[in-house]
Amino acid sequence: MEIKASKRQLLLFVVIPLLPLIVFWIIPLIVSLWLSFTDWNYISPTFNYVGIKNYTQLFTSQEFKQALAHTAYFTFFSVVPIIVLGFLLAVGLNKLKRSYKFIQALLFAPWVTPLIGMSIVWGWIFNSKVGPINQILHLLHLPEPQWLTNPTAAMWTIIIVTIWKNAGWAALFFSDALAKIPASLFEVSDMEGLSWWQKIWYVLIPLVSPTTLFLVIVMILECLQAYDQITVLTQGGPAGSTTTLLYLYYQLGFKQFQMGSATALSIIILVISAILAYISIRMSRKHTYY
Amino acid sequence: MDLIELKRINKQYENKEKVIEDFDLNIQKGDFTVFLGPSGCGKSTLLRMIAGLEKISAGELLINGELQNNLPPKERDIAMVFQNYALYPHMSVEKNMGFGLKMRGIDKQVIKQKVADAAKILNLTDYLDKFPGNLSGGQQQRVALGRAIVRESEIYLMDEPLSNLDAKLRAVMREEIVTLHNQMAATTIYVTHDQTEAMTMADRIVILNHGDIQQIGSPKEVYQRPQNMFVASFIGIPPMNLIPLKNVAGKFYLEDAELSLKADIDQQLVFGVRPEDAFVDESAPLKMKVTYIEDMGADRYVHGLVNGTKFTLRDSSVNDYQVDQEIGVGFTAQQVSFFDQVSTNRVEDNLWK
Ligand SMILES: Nc1ncnc2c1ncn2[C@@H]1O[C@H](COP(=O)(O)OP(=O)(O)O)[C@@H](O)[C@H]1O
Ligand SMILES: [Mg+2]
Repeated sequence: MEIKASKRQLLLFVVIPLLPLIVFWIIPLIVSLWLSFTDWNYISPTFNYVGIKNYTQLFTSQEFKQALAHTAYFTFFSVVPIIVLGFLLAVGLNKLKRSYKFIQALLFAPWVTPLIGMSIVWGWIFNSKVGPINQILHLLHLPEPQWLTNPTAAMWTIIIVTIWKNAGWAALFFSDALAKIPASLFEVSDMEGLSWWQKIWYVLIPLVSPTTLFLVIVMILECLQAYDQITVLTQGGPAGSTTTLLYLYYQLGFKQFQMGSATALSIIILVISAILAYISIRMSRKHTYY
Repeated sequence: MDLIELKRINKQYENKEKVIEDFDLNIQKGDFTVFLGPSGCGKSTLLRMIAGLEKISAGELLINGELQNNLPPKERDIAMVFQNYALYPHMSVEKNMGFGLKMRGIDKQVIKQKVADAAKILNLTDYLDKFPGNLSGGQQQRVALGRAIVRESEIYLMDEPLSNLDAKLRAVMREEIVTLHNQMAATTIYVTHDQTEAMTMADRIVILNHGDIQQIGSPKEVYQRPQNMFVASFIGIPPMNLIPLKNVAGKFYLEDAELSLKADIDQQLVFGVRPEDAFVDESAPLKMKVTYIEDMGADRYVHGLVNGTKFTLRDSSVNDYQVDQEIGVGFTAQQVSFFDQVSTNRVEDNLWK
């Protein structure tokens, strides 16, 4: 039997499926890398090679350091609640016997609804004067934060919207993972006298850990790429308090027309993503024995 | 005193018909009891009610004379072994075996010692730091047994623990489980649909069908004196031959041969004989047409039809039989059973005149 694939088969089965990847990913990546060593301003037809100047400038700039800190803060305080909330929602969901499908659909809705549109709705909800949240707080005589104009509150507004979008989606993954745990494992825990929180701690959490890890990776990447909610709700403000790395990239490239710096930043974002993904995969190898 | 008492136990799953109705059974300390019956007859349901994993719809469950109905599983002194082993995949063998003790707040050193002792008995010492996913089915089942025995419970419940293993391993494990039961002086209830397991392991077999007890007895009793036609045709491989007798005005005929029986004039009887109690006897009036010969090495089963009804006999002679050949079938009068065709129950009295 002929084992080696012919050239034509290679073309058919390897190159063609790879084409979209090459066109939409590898080529732009190479172009970005190349642009990041230039001072192209997006408009003029000419540019100069500047070496690693874009990178050194970025690393020393206050803007970059702040955006990095904002990104870390935003990512951490979005991903942790998404995972915890998603897990708890899933535990609740799997206890239900009826209306399971309906609630599944409800949880999935924020994920499939375009976030640009939903962010406008959220902008109204968080509006400090006419928004329903502050109206309710007013009725209860509680302090009414300036959700979108106070720097700390603005970041939390973005975080809340991000949690809202992703927690239900994460719950569906957890729900599936929980459903796959054999019932007899819970019966053994009953026989061994585990309380409900011991079951969660010793059985549920370890058994869904592959799903948790997967979701953490995907959610970190999701946060690194968050754009819609920022552009609609705060445009990176107030005073740059919600400017993440990706939003800074957008500002550098399309507001300040510094394409060289912007592409250098995009390469940095890519490297950060790759490092995080690598760490997660290493961790998953170490912590899954089954 | 009886260790476990089931009194008029009923079970009905939500919106379903009753699975178990007015079930009574007493189990003595130290007994190895096997629940045997076809799939779906309610064996697991009964076991799970004793364990506390399933609610008892009505009736009383007593252990050591104390009512258990409303006690959660952990407060019943019971260890259970599941068919699919139910080991925690994220814990090593050692952790799996010691987990129940850990949750009960037992001292770490004590747990370690108990697990080591159990591992020694079960030949698992070299596997203590392995994970279940890296063990064979037989090893996993040993871990599940180990987890049960470190608990040192009074009662062990096992639900078809060997049915996921291959035949050879099953035979080995049967012996191991019985040995363990004896060493621990435990009281065991073992559920199976496999009569070989029941016959080889049990002190007492409880034969079930549709949630009802058909017969309770030692393996020998249920084999030699089946209490009804269900047991007669369920126990034994191949099972007992059953042929309805013709009743002509109080005279009973097995095919053309009259049997001189003292039965009621209008009683409808079924004649039963085990394959090993029947033999080839050319002079016998009962004739069988051979359809198939099953050679077992030491002897063989000769299958055939007696006037259309299937019949099997065990033969160890050197004679040769051909398919379609007609042979005479004999039996010893004292080694046959009679059943009432209407009630299907065994007719206990000696019917021979
Ligand atoms: N959780 C359940 N809900 C509804 N019906 C059940 C449930 N478990 C078992 N049954 C029904 O009860 C009957 C007995 O089942 P089971 O005790 O598992 O039998 P066995 O162990 O003898 O095979 C079956 O008809 C089965 O369909
Ligand atoms: Mg069963």
